Amino acid sequence: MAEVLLKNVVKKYGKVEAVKGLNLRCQDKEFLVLLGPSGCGKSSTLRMIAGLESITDGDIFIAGARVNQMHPSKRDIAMVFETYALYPHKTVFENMAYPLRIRSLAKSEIESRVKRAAGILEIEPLLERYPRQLSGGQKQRVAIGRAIVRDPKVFLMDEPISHLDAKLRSHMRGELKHLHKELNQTFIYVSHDQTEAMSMADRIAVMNLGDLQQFDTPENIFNKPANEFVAGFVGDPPMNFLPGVLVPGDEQWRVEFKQFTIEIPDRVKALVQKAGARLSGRHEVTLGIRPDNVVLKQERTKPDDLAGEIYITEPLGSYMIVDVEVGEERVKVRADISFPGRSKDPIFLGLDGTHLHLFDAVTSRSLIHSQNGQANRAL
Amino acid sequence: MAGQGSATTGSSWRAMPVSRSMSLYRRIVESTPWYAWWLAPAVIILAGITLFPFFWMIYMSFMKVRLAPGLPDLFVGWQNWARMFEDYSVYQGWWLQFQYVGVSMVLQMGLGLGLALMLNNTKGGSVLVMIFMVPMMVAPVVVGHLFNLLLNSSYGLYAWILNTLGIYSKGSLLSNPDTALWTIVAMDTWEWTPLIILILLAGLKSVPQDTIEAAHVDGSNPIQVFFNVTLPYLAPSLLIAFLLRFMDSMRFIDKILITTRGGPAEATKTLPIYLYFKTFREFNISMGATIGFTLLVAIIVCALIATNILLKEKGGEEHA
Amino acid sequence: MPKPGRILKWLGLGAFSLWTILPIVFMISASFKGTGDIFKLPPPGDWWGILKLLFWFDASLVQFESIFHEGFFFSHLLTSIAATGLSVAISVPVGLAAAYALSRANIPGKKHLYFWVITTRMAPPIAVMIPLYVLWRSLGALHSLPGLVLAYITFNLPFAIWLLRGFMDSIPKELEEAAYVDGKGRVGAFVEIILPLIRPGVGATVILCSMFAWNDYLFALILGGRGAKTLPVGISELASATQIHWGQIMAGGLVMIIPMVVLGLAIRKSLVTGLTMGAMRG
Repeated sequence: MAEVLLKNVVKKYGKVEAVKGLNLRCQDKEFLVLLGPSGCGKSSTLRMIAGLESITDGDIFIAGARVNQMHPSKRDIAMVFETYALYPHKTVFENMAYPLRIRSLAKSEIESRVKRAAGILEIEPLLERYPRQLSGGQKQRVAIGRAIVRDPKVFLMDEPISHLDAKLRSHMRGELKHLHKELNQTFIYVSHDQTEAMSMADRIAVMNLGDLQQFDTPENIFNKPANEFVAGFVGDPPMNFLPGVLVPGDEQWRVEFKQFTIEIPDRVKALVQKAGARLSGRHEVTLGIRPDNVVLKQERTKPDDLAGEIYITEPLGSYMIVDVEVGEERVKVRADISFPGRSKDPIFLGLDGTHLHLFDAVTSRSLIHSQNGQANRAL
Repeated sequence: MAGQGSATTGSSWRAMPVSRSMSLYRRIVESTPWYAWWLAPAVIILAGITLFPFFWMIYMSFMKVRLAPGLPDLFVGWQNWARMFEDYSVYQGWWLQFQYVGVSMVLQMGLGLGLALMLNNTKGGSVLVMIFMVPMMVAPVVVGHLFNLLLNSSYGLYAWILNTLGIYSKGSLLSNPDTALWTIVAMDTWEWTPLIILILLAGLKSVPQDTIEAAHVDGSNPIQVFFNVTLPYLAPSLLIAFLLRFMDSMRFIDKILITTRGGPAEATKTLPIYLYFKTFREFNISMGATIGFTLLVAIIVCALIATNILLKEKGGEEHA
Repeated sequence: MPKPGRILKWLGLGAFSLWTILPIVFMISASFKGTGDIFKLPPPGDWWGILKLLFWFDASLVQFESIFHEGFFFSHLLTSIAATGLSVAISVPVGLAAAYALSRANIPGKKHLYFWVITTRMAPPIAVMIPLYVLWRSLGALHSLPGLVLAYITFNLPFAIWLLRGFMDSIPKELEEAAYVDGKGRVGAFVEIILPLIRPGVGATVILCSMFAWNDYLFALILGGRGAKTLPVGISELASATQIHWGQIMAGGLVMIIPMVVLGLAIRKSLVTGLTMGAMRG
């Protein structure tokens, strides 16, 4: 149970900067997910918190204590590894009992704690087995079991469920979230899977190329992405991006594309102005809109509906993704499974103006929500 | 990247900034990376018993070493070196060594490959493998004595067999200058061909069975399959077997020392044997150091080549 | 496989097996014969007589009795055990520590260290011995057990380092990291996690190092000399210019090779790995 604080943490491997001055405050009892593509520095960050990697620069505090030079064994943390890292020469029981034996707990206490953890994870029948006799999912539970038998300050999890099959992964997402509620402790969880992050986290720290992109609640990460990277990384299918030019008129703002133009609703305009972006004249932007926020229409019902042509349809059981060609751009739209359209059919797209995102084409920062992203970065 | 990371982990706990108030001793301790403590015993021991003697040998090759107590060594410059290059026995020694190692290699590699192919996928092969393992564990000294007896002209089993078969009946093969060296090659072959077989058998397991089947389906005959499929997969193992046996035949002289001691008529006086007599029978330590140094350098060059090849092979396997 | 091929194959395997096993069989039967019987050979051409000579003879333990009775053999045996045991007892633990560092740490100049280790291992004993002889002599370590043990370490320590590093590399580093996180320090994790996992590798290393030291002749002859006479030297002295005690040599040789053959076969799975210094997985 503890707060974890990272101040200007830098990690260099030779000349490569894997983590570039990271500031992050994980609150007590929070479920924090470090999300990002491979090589973004999330695992390095976790391993620095664990003490398995040295810190090139900056400071890490766990429960208020600076731990930069502290050996992992002294940090009072528990960690679940991507490869599970179960001790092959110990039984499941001994694997889980090991951290307790190190702390020389009484035999009865060890037994009761291991039994309790095994109960929570439903692995009691496996206690006498060896890791080689377990399936991937079982190993993963044992790895978690080894972490939860004691009462560490922080739980660190490095992609613990990425090697499980899709069904089990989805099941474990629920289990892990439940576990967090039950244990009521600080979790820092590394993942490259946005679904995991969205479904489990209290807050998500999105990282890319060693930099923190945005640190916020899943809702805000999804609805108010601070930049184009976050917007594109979170959400499935991913957000559509259309490069265009923002033309701030006196009354009405609009975004001009090669073959069409979109009017910016006043609400969005107000947000841009509130965000304080200084816009003088025409401004290169990227317009972003999620597939859920586009409506397919057989006929033009509003003047700014976009005319296009269906490229392909992907039925996915309960819904359907329709790829529509609008001019030179291709837009993914989420449609009802009953949508009758077929390839080459002409179609109209109605954009939900309230869910438009505008990103600066140069900095790729959000012109609407960059403020809250910045606020978080500065702690 | 990960490996590198773990490596730096420990060192950084030690490599913390040290305050001035700390004693010199503590400062040294604190700034030493962890691995230094783990490596130190091995490095110190090895430096003491291999590196230092190595330089001492170079030193001795420029001195006249006098073993009698109280007599200091005399500096003689390049004299020992000049003598070595004038010494016919050195050249002859190298030539004999070359023949000994060369013929051993060809014979053992050929036999090893043939037998490994025969043993591969053979029922009951594991029992034969157990039998084949026995000679490599027999001390070379015992091998020497054993063959001395086997080849003894009056009561040796092998001499009897050769005689009965009408192949050879002129006493021991080891006491004939024309056959002595090749007899020692045969002894070495008896002892070490099995290792080559084992190495190649392990290598043959890496040959994918489906590729062989595909080649058969494509209509290749067994000889084509061997050259086009089996041999390329076996090449790394062949190389390893060759390098290992090469290095070992260069090194060991126990069998020669037990059987012929360089004779008869210097027919088996390979360079290491000559070196042995020069140093420890004539006690000409300076010449011994000079010749020994050249032998050592030759081996180090071979080792350099061998390790580079082996490491490359190994790396290749890991990436595959 | 066509039939002639199969016959040829078994002919080849049979001939090689015979060639391999015959000297050993001969040695065993010679060890169990009375001194007079060793010198008896049937007349040329009498193959049945050879079979009888190998398998059907008046077994006797007289050779073993005589070597042990004369006392010197027993002291050579003890010297061999001591020299082998001590060199292994030093080489393997020191090698383990070094192998761990080489396997886990990012050491500057690691390649050079490797090269040094492997060339030391590949150096010819006769060349290594020349400076050692002079140095030991000046230190008074010549013809002594410690001197011989140190000499054995020149080849056993590099071997142990090289081989153990290979075994160590096959253990994922996450296991140690898990132990750190669980609360163990570096030494604790090494002892409780790494060591149990590479126990087979350590066993193979111990046996192979023992074999190299046990079978050594040259170092024992020159550096061990009178003061530390091991079995190979002692047995060889049974063959003098004037008389060769064949029976005792064969019996002594058998006593010498049996433990190594047993140990070697016990680790036969890792024997190839060991003898190729990890370049080949058996």
